Amino acid sequence: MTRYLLTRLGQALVIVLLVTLITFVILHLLPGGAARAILGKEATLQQIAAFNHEMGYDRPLWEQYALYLRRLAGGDLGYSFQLNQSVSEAIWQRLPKTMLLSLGSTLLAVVVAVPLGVVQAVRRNRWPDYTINGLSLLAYATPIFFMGLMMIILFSQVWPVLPPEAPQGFTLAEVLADPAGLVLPTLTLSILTVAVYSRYVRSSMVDNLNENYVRTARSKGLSEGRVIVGHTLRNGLFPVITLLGMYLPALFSGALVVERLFNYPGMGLLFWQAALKRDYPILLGVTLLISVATVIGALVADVLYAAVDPRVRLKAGRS
Amino acid sequence: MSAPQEEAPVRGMWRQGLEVFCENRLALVGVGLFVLLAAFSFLGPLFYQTDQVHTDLTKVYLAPGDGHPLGTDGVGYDQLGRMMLGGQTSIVVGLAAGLLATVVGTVWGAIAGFAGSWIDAIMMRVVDAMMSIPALFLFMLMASIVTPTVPMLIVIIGAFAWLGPARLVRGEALSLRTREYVMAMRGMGGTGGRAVRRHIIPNAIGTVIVNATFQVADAILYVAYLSFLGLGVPPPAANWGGMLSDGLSDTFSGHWWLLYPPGIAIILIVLAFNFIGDGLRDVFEVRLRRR
Amino acid sequence: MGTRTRILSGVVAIGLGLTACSAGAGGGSQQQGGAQGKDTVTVALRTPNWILPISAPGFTQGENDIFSTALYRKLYSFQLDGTSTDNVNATRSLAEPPVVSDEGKTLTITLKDNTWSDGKPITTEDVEFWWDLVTTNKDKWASYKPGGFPDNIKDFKVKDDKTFSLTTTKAYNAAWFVGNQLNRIVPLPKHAWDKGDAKKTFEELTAASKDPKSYATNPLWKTTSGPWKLESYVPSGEVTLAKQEKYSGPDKPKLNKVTLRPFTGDDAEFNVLRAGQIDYGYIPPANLSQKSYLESKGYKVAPWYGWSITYLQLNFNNPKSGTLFKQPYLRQALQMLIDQPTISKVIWSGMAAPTCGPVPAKQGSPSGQGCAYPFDPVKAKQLLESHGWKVAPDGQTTCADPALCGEGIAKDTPLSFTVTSQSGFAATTKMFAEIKSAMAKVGVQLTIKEVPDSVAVTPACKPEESKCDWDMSFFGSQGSWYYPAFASGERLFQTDAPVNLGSYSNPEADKLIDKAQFSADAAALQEYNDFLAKDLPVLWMPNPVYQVSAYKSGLQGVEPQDPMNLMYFQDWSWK
Repeated sequence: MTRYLLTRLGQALVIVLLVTLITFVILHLLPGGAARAILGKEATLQQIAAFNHEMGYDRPLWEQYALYLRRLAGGDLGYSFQLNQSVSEAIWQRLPKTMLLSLGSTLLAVVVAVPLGVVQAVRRNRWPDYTINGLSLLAYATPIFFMGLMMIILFSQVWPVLPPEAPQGFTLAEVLADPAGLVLPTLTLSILTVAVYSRYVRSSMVDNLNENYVRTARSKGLSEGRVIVGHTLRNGLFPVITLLGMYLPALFSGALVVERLFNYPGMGLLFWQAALKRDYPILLGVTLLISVATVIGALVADVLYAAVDPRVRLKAGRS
Repeated sequence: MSAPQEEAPVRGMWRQGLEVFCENRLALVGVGLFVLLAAFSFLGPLFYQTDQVHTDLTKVYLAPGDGHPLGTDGVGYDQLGRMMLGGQTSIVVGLAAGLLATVVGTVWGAIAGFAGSWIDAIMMRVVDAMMSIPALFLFMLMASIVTPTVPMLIVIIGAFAWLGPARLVRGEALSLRTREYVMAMRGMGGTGGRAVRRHIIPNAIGTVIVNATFQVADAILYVAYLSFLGLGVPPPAANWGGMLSDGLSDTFSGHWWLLYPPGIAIILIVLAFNFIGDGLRDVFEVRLRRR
Repeated sequence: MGTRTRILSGVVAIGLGLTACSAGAGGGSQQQGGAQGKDTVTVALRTPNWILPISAPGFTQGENDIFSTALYRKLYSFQLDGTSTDNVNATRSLAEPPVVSDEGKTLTITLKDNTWSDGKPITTEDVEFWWDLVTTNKDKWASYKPGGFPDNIKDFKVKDDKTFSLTTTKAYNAAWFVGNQLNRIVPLPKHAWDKGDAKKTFEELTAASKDPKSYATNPLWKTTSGPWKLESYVPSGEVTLAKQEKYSGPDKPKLNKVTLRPFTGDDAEFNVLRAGQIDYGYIPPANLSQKSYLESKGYKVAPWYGWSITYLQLNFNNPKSGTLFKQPYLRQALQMLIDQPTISKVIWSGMAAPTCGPVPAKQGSPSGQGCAYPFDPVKAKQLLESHGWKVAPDGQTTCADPALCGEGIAKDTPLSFTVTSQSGFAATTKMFAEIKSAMAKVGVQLTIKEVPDSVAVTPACKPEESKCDWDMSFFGSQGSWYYPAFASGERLFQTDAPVNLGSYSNPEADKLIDKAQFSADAAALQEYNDFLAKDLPVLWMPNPVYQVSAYKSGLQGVEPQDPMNLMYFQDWSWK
């Protein structure tokens, strides 16, 4: 197990390095440099040159990259010219808010999705399955911004119980002081997740119910409940574990849209504004953070996967 | 999808598959929905001709009524005609990008999962790295580098959406390869390539098909998100996603006919693909069960 | 405002509408704009992030100008109502209007009696201190252009405590020089800031300005000349200005406190505006239909006209399309295909007005009638046909007779262009859909490419450069260009001018631009405007207002809103 962990950690580091490289290159391939986007149309060539020099954009790409990595190693994410603020400061201001939104909605989604998926698998092709399936498909098929809008109309207009806007506070405490405002964004983000998760739980459970060992268990006369909980559920949850890990970027994409929709001042909004203004340091910083989070997510998922399915562990440990 | 078991009577399998598919009423509804929406988009303009090229600023925001069953939009296009035009783009982009992503992803994932060792490590590290960058972020960057046109959208979405299927198929392959029959085959001296062809891919097909439906549906949704983020296909081209996100700003002014029709159309088409996928999965499941 | 994030504007607006019914509860206390005894005001404004009155490149946003003007008075303030000499606002300015001598080359300026917030008088030493800072550090000053101010000053001389003079290298039009050069001077508190060496002092001031966290606490920023003092400052958050009791100017603040509140986007701002929780805000373009609702809630809606023009840049240096753009008849034909009055009315909901030439029209004047080439597709078609083009409506118009088409245009050259436009503005997207359609009717194919920052990807360029492949560029969703007091064209349309992105060049235009800048002839600017209005260095486009402001009807002194985008909170008061 230790060896497996070490291997996976090494892989994780490689991925993070790859990510920094990919994003760095893509960002610098963009037409029109950051300088013009920031300094505006009045900027003189001298000012652009001075800006590029100050930010190091006039150096060769590989040198910039090396410089970026070196600063990164020292914990320095850079300085955002547009915000007149360091990147880490800007991110720390917003990260907790996005975490709150993402974790809240994921937790809610898992708690709802797993039982739903199990019920569907067990009552396959009967009305509970059809109903849940239909609903989750409907949720899945609705663009998240359309869904959010419907929620706003429903819960703010038709039945005005919730505010249509997320809390606008600048600190986590201020946000938490207005829990009502968090309901709609969290709900909107989690509905999509529920749809995706329950489908996978169902599909995986169905697959497992057909496995030989389940049939053996059944033939041995074990009760259906024991078969499901004791044998199938454990195996059936594997895909959910993988999904949790790999769903993070999708979750962030969703958060981006939800934050825009509900004006929630989190990382998504920060990123969106930075993308419009070519704020490279912010774009790099946010992407790096998200990718590190995803890599850690995938790592944890894989380790859990290995923990529940020794075959995977043995195999991967040998390679 | 070719029948995996060459030994089995192919015709019989198909007929049987069709029967199972037809048993799933939702699947039939899905097929019906898809045919309907496709006919509406592609054949509709033959019967209901509108000018979708020229704007008419004297006829903006007309409510549904005479001459314009679904009203007009902010530059005077007939909304019903626009729905047909938008449907063409949405369906074409969805199918093409979804298929592209699924094919690339399946091949990649199956090879990685079965090959194992360092090949798997390298291939999956590439996938991991690209996957840990949020899709919308990558789409936004790509779309601001190239002008979004229909073929470009297909390539952009296809180029990043294959990661999901790749990882899933690889996971499936990883668990399948340890199952009894593949183990047995290897024990008998079967080659790797043969195992992939004969067992892993056919067995992963359930997963792939479920995923493919999601991919087509996802591609249609991605186009919507791109439009929502301001990177849609420029006028006079249209797609349901773009129309929907445009419609958001019009709702407040009471122009409901610009919001709900494209919204409902997207939901229906995405639903249709999911229903079809469910039906197909039943088909494969039955086959697995019989083996 | 420059948030550029209006895509979603409508979305939450809907939400807002919904709260409309219940909104009374939230903002109830201040319904109908009534504000008995109220002496504070909350204003929607992005967080300023530069405090030093010498702006650094990249920090020239409007809110920074408003912020630093509230703390540090400029030497000259301006008003554009045409009632004063050289547009100088006598009340707000720190000095008397300049006296011109030496054939227009020397301007002598006398300071009025004013004091810093610590009681020390504002003297020519403080002007000289500013002068030293910018001359020794001009490469770090956003307003510096080589050859421009201060390079065009031969001599800066202090006569006494109250008087100093500037001698220019050549004679300028006084109105131009005052409005576009002297407008940059801001006397700075030498006694509080000077460290002896101009370079070192500047470095320290810049470093302090790059540390927004300390704005409200750093003693440097306590010595001010403006009507307001900084009470609190949260980076990317709220900023509070308090009345400066020791303010020496005549326009004493009437309110005690001004809170500047930033919003994450237009929708958020509008949400709060609708709930009545801010006293001054703006209506995002997508929500203009809500105007009457806001009025019923006790807001006054006031379009803020900018001293600006809006245009579609043509790239004369593009090896392909540039040859076409160089033909005046072609530019005229294209201009005749842009229906400015209808676009302004229908697409911009009346919150835009046609641009007819390089000098902005007087506020509120019914322009559009006076445009040299009004919308006329029939005439455009004839014009093209008479120049050898085979016009194919809804097809592809091509050159049939190269001799008539013009120099460098081969037979069968198509009229097909790509416009790089701004994404994120619904009205802009609709506007180009309309223009594309109008052009298609005479077989001119327009491809629309939307990017977040069109200015950045369409730089001025040489024909041989690869980045010179753009045809047309639009960046005027909030106005393409805002002028200083004197609306001359040396920055925009002169050959090789810094913001001449399309590389337009016409000797006659250059001459007229020079004349407006250097001669004392008051008619020169008009002459320049008339010539360029016809010569079409760019295609003129509907000019949107700076913003549609909405403020509580009990608030007085907000209007007229400064066309040069400053805000003078000291004039505001509650009824």
